[in-house]
This record gives sequence, structure tokens and C-alpha cells, in this order.
Amino acid sequence: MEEQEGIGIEKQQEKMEEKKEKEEGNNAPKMGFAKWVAVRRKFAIDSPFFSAGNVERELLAKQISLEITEEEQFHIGRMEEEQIWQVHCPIVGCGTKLQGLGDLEAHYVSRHTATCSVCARMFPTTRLLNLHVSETHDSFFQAKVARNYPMYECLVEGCAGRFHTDMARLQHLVDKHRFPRSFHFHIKKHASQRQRQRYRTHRTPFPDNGHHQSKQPSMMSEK
Amino acid sequence: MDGASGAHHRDPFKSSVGRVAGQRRRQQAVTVGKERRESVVRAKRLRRADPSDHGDDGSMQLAVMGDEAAYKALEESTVNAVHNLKKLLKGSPAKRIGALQTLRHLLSCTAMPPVHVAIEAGVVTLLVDCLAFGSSEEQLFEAAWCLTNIASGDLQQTRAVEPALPLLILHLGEKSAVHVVEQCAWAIGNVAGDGEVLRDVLLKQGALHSLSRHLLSPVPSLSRTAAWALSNLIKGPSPKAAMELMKIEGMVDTLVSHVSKGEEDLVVEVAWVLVYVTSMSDLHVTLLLNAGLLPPLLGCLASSEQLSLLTPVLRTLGNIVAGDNSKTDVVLSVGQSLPGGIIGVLARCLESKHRTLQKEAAWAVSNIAAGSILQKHTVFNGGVVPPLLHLLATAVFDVRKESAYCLGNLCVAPKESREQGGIILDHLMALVDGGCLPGFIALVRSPDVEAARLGLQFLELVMRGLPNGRGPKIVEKEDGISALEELQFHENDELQTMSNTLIDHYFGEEYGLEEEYGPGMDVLRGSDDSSDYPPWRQGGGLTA
Repeated sequence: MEEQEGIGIEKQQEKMEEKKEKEEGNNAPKMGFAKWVAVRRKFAIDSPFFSAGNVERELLAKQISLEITEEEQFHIGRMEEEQIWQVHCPIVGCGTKLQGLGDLEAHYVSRHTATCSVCARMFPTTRLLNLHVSETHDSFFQAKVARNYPMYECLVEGCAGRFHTDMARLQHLVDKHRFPRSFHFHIKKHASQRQRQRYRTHRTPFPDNGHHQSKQPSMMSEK
Repeated sequence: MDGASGAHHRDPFKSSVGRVAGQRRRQQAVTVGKERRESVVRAKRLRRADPSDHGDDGSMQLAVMGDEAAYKALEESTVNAVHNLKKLLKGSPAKRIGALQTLRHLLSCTAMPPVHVAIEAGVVTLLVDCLAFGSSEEQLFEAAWCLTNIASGDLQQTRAVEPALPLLILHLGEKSAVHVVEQCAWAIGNVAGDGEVLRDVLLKQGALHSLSRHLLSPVPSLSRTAAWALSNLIKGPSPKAAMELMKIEGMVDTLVSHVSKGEEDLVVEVAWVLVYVTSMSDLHVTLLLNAGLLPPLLGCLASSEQLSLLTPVLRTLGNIVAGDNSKTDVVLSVGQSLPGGIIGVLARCLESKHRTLQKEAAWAVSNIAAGSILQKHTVFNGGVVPPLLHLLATAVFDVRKESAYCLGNLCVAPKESREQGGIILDHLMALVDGGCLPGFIALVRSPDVEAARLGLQFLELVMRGLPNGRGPKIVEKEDGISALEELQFHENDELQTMSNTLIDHYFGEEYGLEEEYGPGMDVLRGSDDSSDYPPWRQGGGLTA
């Protein structure tokens, strides 16, 4: 389907032109011939006009994270030279394996600043952390809920929805924002969380917590 | 290196900022061949995982897809990995992560991962569980990677990822680890790449705002991935998402800033965002122009050699000049600072060996040439005519068609001014003298209706415009009459009528007579329908 062909068969105008040209004494073909009119041609985003240029783009539209060949590994290894030394995050209870200072800094800034100080759960944004703290650990919050204030805020940024119960908010997330019904913001406690609490009171540096030893550090393989 | 790292090891948090900056600069300076660049960018995901530390049993190193037995084995391993993950969901985090990594390996060792069996085995629900708040970075990262590759399949497979979307979006938050954010953005980008239905879902779930925050990330791979994912989200065809994106505060300036200062790979992605925005919103074209988009945009076009960058930049420009005359004027005036002006830059694109660049550059030129008289003169005198004539004669069909639009547009006056019967004669004569006629006659012969129409219309201009009846003569010389005659019995009514009209008018029975009877014989005035012959031949009145 062609979009907005620009020639513009404008018979009306053509008749007028013809009349004028007869007056001007110009030779003009008879009616039935739509003369060249210069108009701008615009094409829609998905017009076939653009498909050749889109081919390369579409190939990248579905990017897959792939394993790399040895040769590519070599190149990456060269890139990685700066990061061959490893450190474990010194924060109690964490011990995440990190490569290079950049990693360490980024990790620290991200993971250890949106943690709930009561139950040690970590959140991807400050806002979610605050919501969690209010809803889970704040009796004042519960008091207001009991007095029928709509205290439960929608989790999607930019949406001003507020609800009287957690269930009502979930319903809103499902209806308005297409969340799955199985989504839960509040999770029941389970073993690892208790473990985390235990670690917090122990205060051992670089605990051998078995968290991140699923792989042996193997820099040598990245040649 | 060791000494230095030792010193830093003791005191990790101080003086790390400078190191980080240096590190990032070095990353950007990696000199890997262009062919490898894409794979290296993708391969950066693998920095932490290593194929050999999984007791690799060879089935993971599938290079040849054609090996059916090996693929079956891969599928089986995948199903087992999913079941294994299910068992370990309630287990220790370390074991869970190990299971995730195994699964991730299986989903990333070939170009066509066994996504379907994984989905059937119920992998998505498990991965959603692994995305719960409070999960470790590594777990989130691995789960997001698996989802990325699952979402790289066909539409049905990608739709299966839907339950994971809200969490993927939430993990784009500002407190998430950078590599987690990047992997989630990547997965979301894959989902958005698959069609408007899923894009709609993502929009409703707030993906746009969460992603756009990362456009300004100082981490190059993250800002690039975010820009790419956003471009997939807004590609429409409904302009709704693009409009919503542009409503975000500071977005216009962010985009312009990236085009000015971003590294080339980032500019590529941002340029695609601009392609969509400039196509869908006239208002934002104005806002972008006012915010200073043109100088860096035209600069890219003039200096880059990369097809992947030139394509969206050129198309953005094409969209801008497909608007009104005032926008085109701005383009022309800003372009003056470039050597040869913007027309010179477009001429360079016309001379490129890439068919896409030729075609879309010609399209842009044709739109500029469809503007005011001044714009037409700028095009004509800007050095594009020789490459256009060359393309008209020698290029592939769709490039020839676009070149035809340019050349024809150059010869007709704007609708508002009707001097000379609407023809810009010196342009027309220069083009005819430059040998454009065979190319147009070839278009008359083409099976494409639009192209044939173009050819006919140009012939009409030539025959009407050139003085002293030169037009029909030169058309005849280039074998145009037979091209016209071929159309006389064409199935398309319009073409049939047009060609008949031209033949009757210019090659009717009087044709050639003026050579016999001398010039000044007004044989071509068709207004007197009662006779095709001049008065003195109509009999009566004269004695032999």
C-alpha cells in the first residue's frame, strides 16, 4: 500500500491551468492529462518505501545475548585488563563478587542504599523502598488504613492511584497496568531472609556465606 | 598493575572515582574491528559467565544448527534445566543461581535457542519468581538474561514473557545495579520489538518513563540499550507512545544533547528515536529544530562513514524536509556552514554505494525541490544534478524513480507562481541537454504505474516547454514515440488516456508537417476541432 502519492492528480487545478494557458496562448494538451505538480511526499513509518533501510535495523530488533567465540573472548579479555583483580563486597551479609573498582563502586551505590533497615530487603528504587517501609513496618500507616484513608499507592511511577487495601491496589495494577494477578509486592518471609537477619547481627567481615561461590573466579579463561 | 591494585584493595572506596572514569574511557577506546563490534557489544553480557566452568559437556558449544541430533540433545538439556530450576526455587540462593546460569547458557549458545521447549516446560513462571524484590543482583541479572533470549523468538514466544513485564520494568529503578538494569532494558527492548500489542502493554505498565531515565546514564552501554529499547517502544505505527515520550520533561534537550556529544553507537540509537518522532509529530520537529538539533545532525551526515548511523540520520532529515517550506528553509540555512551546504552533503549520499542512502537522499532532495523557487534554485545550483542524472541512467529501479521525482520537481514552478506556464525553462533545458530523457522514457516503459506516470508527465513538460517544437523532436529521437505507443493499449485507463493524449497532441497527423510547410505554421493548436488541417488545406476557397 502506497502512502500519500505525491503527484496529486488534481484535475480541478489542471482545468484552471488549461484555461489560463489558452488565454496565454500556450499550447496545452487536452483534458485527461494530469500535469506534473511538485508536491512534498511524506511516508508513514511502516511504509514499504523504507523497508530496504529497515532491514538492517530489523535484524537488530531482536538482539540475542550470545556466547562468544574464543577470538572474541580474546578481544574482550584485552578490554578487561583493567578489571582482572577481584574483590568481595565488604558489606556484612553481602559478599558479592565484584570485578574491578568500577564494579565495586556501582554495586555499593546501588545495592546498599535502598535496603530496608528493618528486614534487609532491597528494592530497585527509593520510592519502592519507602512504600515498603510504610506498608510493612509502620504502625502509623496501619492506623490510617484502619481509619479508611486510601493509603496504598499505585506502584507505577507517574500514576496517582491510591487505594484502601492492598488487594484493591493489586486489582488496579491488573486492570490499568496489565500486571499479572500473581504479582505480589509483599512477600512472605522465607529462609534466606532470616539468614540475612542473622548475618546482620553477627558482623563477620567477608563471611563465607556460600552465596556467591557458584563459580570459581576464572580470569585465566578469558584470554 | 599488581602493586596498584593491592593499594586500592586496602582502601576500596577512596579515590575510586577517578579510576572509574578512566576505566570507562578505556572501555570506549577498545579497538575491535567493525565486523566484530556488534558481537562484542552483545558479548559484554558474558563478562561474568564463562562457558568452561560449567563442566562443559560439548552440547553447549553448538555452532552448527543443521545437526538435528545435537539440537534435540540441546532441547532435552534445556527441559532438564527448567525442571532443575523449579526444584531449586526454594533452595539456597547459590544453587538457584547455578541453575539459572545453566539455563541461561543453554538459551544463549546458538542463534536459535530452544525457546519453545523452555516455555512449554513452564520456565516463565519460574523466572518471574526469580525476579522478586530482594533477590540478589546475580539472580536478577541471570533471570533477565534468560527472559531476554526467550523474548527474542517469534511473537507467540515473546507473548509468553508477558507475566514478567511488570517486574522487569520495576527493576529499571534507580537503585538497581547497572547490569541488572541493562539486561532488563534489553529484555524489554526485545519484547517491544515484536509488535504493537505488546508495546501497548509495556506502555500501560509504565515502561516509557522508567526507560527514559536511563537515557542520561553515564554508563555508555546502558544509555545505548535504553535508547534502543525506547526506539522499539515508540515505533508505532500509532504516534501515541512517541508523543508520550516527548512529553517527558527535558526529553527534547536530552535527545539533542546526545546527537551533539554522544559516542557514535549511542547516536545511532537516538537517531532512530528521532526518525520516529520526526515522522509522527510535526510539533516536535519544530521543538527539536528550536533546540538546536540541526547543526549536529547535519554534521553527522557530513562526516560519518557508518551506514548504521547515516541511515537514521538521513531519514530524520528526510522527515524534516517533508514538512513545510519554513522548516526546509531552516535546514538550508543551517546547512550553509557545511562545505557545499546541505545539498552538497546530500550529493555525497547520492554518490554512496549504498542503495538505501541513494534512495532516501534522493527522496529528501525531491522534497526540497518541491518547495519555493529559491529552494529549487538552491538544489539546482548545489551540485546534485550530475549525480542525479547519473543515477537516473544507471541505478536500480527505486533509486531511478526517486531521482526522477527530483529532476521533475526542479522543472516545475511552485503552484503559487504560474509564470511560463508553470515550467522553469532553464532548469528543464539544462536537464534535457544533460541527457535525462532516455531515463524518463525508460520509466514510461516500466511496469510500475507510478513510474510510468512520472515518465509521461516529464515528457509532457519537455514537449510543452521547449520552444520551437524542439520537444517532440527530441522525444522522437530518443525513441519515445514507441514507448508512448506501447501504452496506448495498456490496461490502466489513466496511463492509456495520458499516452493517447500526448500522441494525439504532439505526434498527430500534423507532426512533421511544419518541416514540410515551414515554421510558423500553427499546426499544433488543437483548439479548432473541426479540422486537423490548416485552413488553406480545408478545401474550398482556393483554386488549384
